[in-house]
Amino acid sequence: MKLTTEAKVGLLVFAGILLLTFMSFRVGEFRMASRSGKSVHVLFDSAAGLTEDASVQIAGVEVGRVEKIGLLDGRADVTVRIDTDIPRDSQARIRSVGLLGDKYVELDLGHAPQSVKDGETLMAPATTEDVGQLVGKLSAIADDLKSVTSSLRGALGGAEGERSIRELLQSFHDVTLNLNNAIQKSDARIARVIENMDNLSTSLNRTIIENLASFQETLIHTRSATRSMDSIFRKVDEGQGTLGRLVNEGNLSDNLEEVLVSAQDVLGVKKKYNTYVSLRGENLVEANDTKGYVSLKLQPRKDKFFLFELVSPEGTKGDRSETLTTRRITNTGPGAGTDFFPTEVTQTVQERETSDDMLFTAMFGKTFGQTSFRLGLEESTGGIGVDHTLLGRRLGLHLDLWDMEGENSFGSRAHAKFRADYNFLKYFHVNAGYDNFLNAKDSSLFYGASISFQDEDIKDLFGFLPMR
Amino acid sequence: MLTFLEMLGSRLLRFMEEAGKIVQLLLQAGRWGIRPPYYLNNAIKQMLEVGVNSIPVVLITATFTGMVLALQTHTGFQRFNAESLVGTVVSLSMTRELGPVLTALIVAGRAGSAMAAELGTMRVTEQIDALYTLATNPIKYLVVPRIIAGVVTLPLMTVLSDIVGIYGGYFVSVRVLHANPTVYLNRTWDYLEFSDIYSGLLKAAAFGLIIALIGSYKGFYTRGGAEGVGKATTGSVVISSMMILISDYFLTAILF
Repeated sequence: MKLTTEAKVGLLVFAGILLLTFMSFRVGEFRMASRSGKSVHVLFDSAAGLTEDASVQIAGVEVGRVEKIGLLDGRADVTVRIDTDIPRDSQARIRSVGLLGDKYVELDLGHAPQSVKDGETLMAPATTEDVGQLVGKLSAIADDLKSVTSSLRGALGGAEGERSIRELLQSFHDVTLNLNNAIQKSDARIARVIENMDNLSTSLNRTIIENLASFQETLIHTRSATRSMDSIFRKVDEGQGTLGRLVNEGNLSDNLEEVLVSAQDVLGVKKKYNTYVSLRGENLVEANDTKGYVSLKLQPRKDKFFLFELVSPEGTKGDRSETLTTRRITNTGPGAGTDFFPTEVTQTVQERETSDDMLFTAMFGKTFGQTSFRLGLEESTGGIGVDHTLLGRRLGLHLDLWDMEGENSFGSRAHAKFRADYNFLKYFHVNAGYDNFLNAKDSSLFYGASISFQDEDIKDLFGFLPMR
Repeated sequence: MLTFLEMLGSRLLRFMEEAGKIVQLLLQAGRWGIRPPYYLNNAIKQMLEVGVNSIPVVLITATFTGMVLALQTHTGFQRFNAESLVGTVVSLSMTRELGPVLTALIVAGRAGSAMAAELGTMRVTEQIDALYTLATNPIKYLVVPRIIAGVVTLPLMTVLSDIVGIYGGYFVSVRVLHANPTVYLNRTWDYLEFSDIYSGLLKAAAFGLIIALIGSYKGFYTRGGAEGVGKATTGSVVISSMMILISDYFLTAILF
């Protein structure tokens, strides 16, 4: 028989609807649609991880599903639908499948003769131990145990540990032996001591009986002393006298508190203060020169600092004037007098004069993020500078401009200096840069190193200055 | 410069015109569709074409999609020991996304193009004009049955491809990857919700409308002889495939 068009389409529609129905009944939601059994409430302290439609099991066998999770008086009200009869005193607890698995409700059957009815509330144990928590605790305990055993093993393990244990036992043995000897030797003495003690207690007894009257007197005195003490306390309590006022009146203690707070403030300044000391040497390659710095950086606040520096005047870097000296040299060597070797040569020598005066730097700095700007006196002339830190403050870039008129250089331009500074160890830095690059004649590459540290003691000197 | 702007403007206008025509066709089909007489026989014929005759190709596609999905998901989930969730992923992906979309794409290529070619040939051979002379509304006679066929059959085909895809994944997981069959089926059905299935079916119905509408539109407005018919066929497949994928996103965003 040949299928007609209509039959084919009809088959498609029928198959589609049939499969849809099949799927509908397979999916979780619709399976629950068959509302059989009874719904029972369980109150949990926490229903964490439990979801609607979660399994309800007795001894690992599914007997129902979680229908609804609500809130009742700050506790989780879990409604479960179960198919079987269970005793009224059964208990419910939330468990999980495996260590990662889903949560489900486990019912522990009770022994009551009546079974639970629809809509009743089951008991839940006060605390439901979370598997996760339990595992956490267990692993913490295991860790502790492990550290104990490992340190024990460290102490006792190996040949050395064995030897030391043996020695320990040996010395213990010796001690007990000695003790034993001593006791045996002094047996008689001990007997005497005991006898003495006996005598002592007898005489003590006698003394107490004799002095009973005076003892009573002492008690009476003590009582009167406590009475006067009582009156003092009462006065303090009532607010009489300085002590009383101190204790009773609020403003006095408030004052005291204020004093303490302000004292704390003053000390706090000291705390906030950072002081850095650094010693730096630079070797100027082209100028064939060295230069030394001692610097002190005071940082009262994070975004503000004062920089004081003493700069060595070594070599060309001092206060300098240039002189042209003309000298005549008389040539008397062989071949003198010819055109090639004239008898007299005029030589012009440029001499640099340096002064021995130390140079000073005193600058005020302001920091914005990683960049700070400095302004003030630099190497005894007016100057400005910019610092920038990179790589987590390990690399510092510094650009300085001072001696604006160029008085101390051969050129007449300002003295400019670029320095890069890298902190490679805790206190140690290396640096390199280009000095006086605006004046071609005097410019020089340099490299150097410095030690820099934060000094806690210098801080104390400035601690009480009101620099805020 | 001016010619460029002119070109741009005319392109835009043409696009707008086309979009307007499609919407107009839809509205006309809606208007004529609710009035008698109903050409039920035509609709049944189209259902055979769109639905029944497309079943083999849809089933093959869905089976292999489900299988490869299981294989790929297993590879990924194995890395964090969640192999037991492969069934969940396969069933969710098939019902929500891959079932409707792949079915629609296959049907668009198979039946949508056929619609455009058939109607286009009728147009260029003036059979559509002949329908007017017979006092038969061609939209009512030709377009409405196709739209009905698309909207009705696509969800049915999607149910088939969902089931087949899920069991294709089951087959691979259990036979090839040696998953526990009971666990696999439990995970497949326990996490699936009815909303997953019906949202996929809603999407499928929308795709059926798109396929039938674009195919009919392309065929109905064919110009230029045999060449025009060829262009209309190609255009219908390209546009409906694109529309399916684009509207898929927006439908998904709206439905969930």
